Amino acid sequence: MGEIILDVKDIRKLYPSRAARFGKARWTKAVDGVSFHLHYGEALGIVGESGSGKSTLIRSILRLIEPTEGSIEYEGIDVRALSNRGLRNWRRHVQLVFQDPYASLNPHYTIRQTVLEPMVIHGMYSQRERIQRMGELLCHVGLDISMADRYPHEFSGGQRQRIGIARALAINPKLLFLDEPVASLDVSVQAQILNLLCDLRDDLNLSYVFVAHDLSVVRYLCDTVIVMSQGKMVEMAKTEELFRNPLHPYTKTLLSAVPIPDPDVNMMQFDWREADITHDLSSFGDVRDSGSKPTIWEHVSQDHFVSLPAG
Amino acid sequence: MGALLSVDNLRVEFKIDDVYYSAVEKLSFSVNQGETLGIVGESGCGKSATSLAIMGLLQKNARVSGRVEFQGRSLFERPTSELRRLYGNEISMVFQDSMNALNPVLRVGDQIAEGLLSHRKIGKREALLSSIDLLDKMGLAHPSEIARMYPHELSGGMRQRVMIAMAMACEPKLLIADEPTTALDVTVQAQILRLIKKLTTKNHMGTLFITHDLGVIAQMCDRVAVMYAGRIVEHGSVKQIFHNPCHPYTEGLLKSVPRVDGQQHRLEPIPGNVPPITAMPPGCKFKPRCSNPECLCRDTEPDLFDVEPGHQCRTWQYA
Repeated sequence: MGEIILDVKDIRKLYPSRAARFGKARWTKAVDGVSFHLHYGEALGIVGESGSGKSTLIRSILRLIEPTEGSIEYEGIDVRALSNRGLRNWRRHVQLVFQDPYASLNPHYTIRQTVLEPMVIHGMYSQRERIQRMGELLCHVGLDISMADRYPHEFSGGQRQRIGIARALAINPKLLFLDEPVASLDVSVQAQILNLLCDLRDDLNLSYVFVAHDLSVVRYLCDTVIVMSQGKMVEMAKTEELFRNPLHPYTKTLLSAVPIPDPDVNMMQFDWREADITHDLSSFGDVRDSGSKPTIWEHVSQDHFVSLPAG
Repeated sequence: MGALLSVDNLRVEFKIDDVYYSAVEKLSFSVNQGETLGIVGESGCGKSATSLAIMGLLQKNARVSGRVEFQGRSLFERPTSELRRLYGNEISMVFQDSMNALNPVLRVGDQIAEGLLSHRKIGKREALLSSIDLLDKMGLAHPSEIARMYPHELSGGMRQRVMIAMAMACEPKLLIADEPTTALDVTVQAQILRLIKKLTTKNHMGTLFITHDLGVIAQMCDRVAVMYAGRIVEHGSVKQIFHNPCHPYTEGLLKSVPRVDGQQHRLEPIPGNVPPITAMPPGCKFKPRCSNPECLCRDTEPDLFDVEPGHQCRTWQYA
């Protein structure tokens, strides 16, 4: 693996909880001490259930919301120290693809305008080059140039997600953040988009930070996986290692809860506890515990880490 | 013994700009007691239109024809008073979106009790006690406190359990579950699925399980009907469908699903999109997306032909 493109250390995002107005301030830790680094050309998956802080994490890294603590380094640049102007320049290298292709495209813009806009904002290319590039991009994501003057509502979910990807790629970024890009799509279309993302990564040498709740999707696309729960990282490993040898009880629970599309594999054998799973989490110690116990990272093997309850 | 629910040649049409377009056509299947039939398909294939037609919940712009029989008697020909006694009592439904399906201004205990009050000769107090008991059976901790809460105070998984408790209140003979776990996290989904499976076995209930998730189908169902563009394209036992898929659409679906177990292969997606109901291709509805080189396509639409006992497929190959 090549050099490090993104180095994230100990990111925290705290929100004041409702009780903060009275007496002692209380904080909800949406993201609690996440660290990782990403190499050039690597795809990193972040999985977790709703409320695990995975979306907050990537929004904090992109500084769409301000992280409370932690450091973010992109190619040696301290992202947290960037001015507004600096941030704008930085975002030429880093783009985000959103979950909901229905909400993330401007309904008043044609596809042409949508894909051209980032290039105009960043003042990249001449007018002629932009138009040519737009055509290439649409072609690259599997759309036809003849569709360029249509509006988002004329497209299906999968096509809209392709437009979102074309828009993100317009300014030639090196790093793409993907926030649940296939969650709202049908299986056959989901497979199309996953294969597209695989191919684009190879063709353009992109790096991905891929957020998803679906473990099978992460396994398909990513080299490394971080499992998050309650704002914390509970396990990090190379993808195949994690799926072959999950160590943290939460990772094991997640994996065993995925229904396998094969009637011969009986998932009903797995012993789920009847109580609500959030109650169960307390038994994992550090995951639910809001106290300030430091997490101990056990280095299991090369590139495989698991958090252990402290003490 | 006859089937619990039998659907024969069901057709559902929706009126769009004064023209009727069919969303479901030539749909025939049956559900026996104690059996779970899965209906799988992508969005727009007519899964939900089917369940709403059986429940008589379609909007005014829909037109339904064909025959739906429950315990040997047609549902569409019964008087409203009789249907009122049937729905929520012997036939009940679990909806996908628990936030919208529950009444936001009623405590969940009262909502569960509502069904009992209208179908059983019991008092309000008694009904409330049974609803607490039901919540307990759904595996919720502190059921008596939850019964006093409003839907917005509960998490998605808890609300879904409340919905199942409502559906189960009168111990129905037939349960229609329309994507009951789609919006939930996998761990919660696993619990809800097991709960439904347990109740199906215990009450000897027939279940019509509608989902787009092949994993859920493989784990939950005895038989499967694969729907595409409003038609059943393949029908068989779970093992037949998963081990010996015959329709190119079923094969395509199975090859499109990434898996958490076993070997990793490159996905082979089905090209193109599901056609909208306003622009259905003539003949075989799957033809524009079909990549089967041995396809013996003709200009007319194929029927469901027998492949092996209990296994039918809508391609000319088996004619």
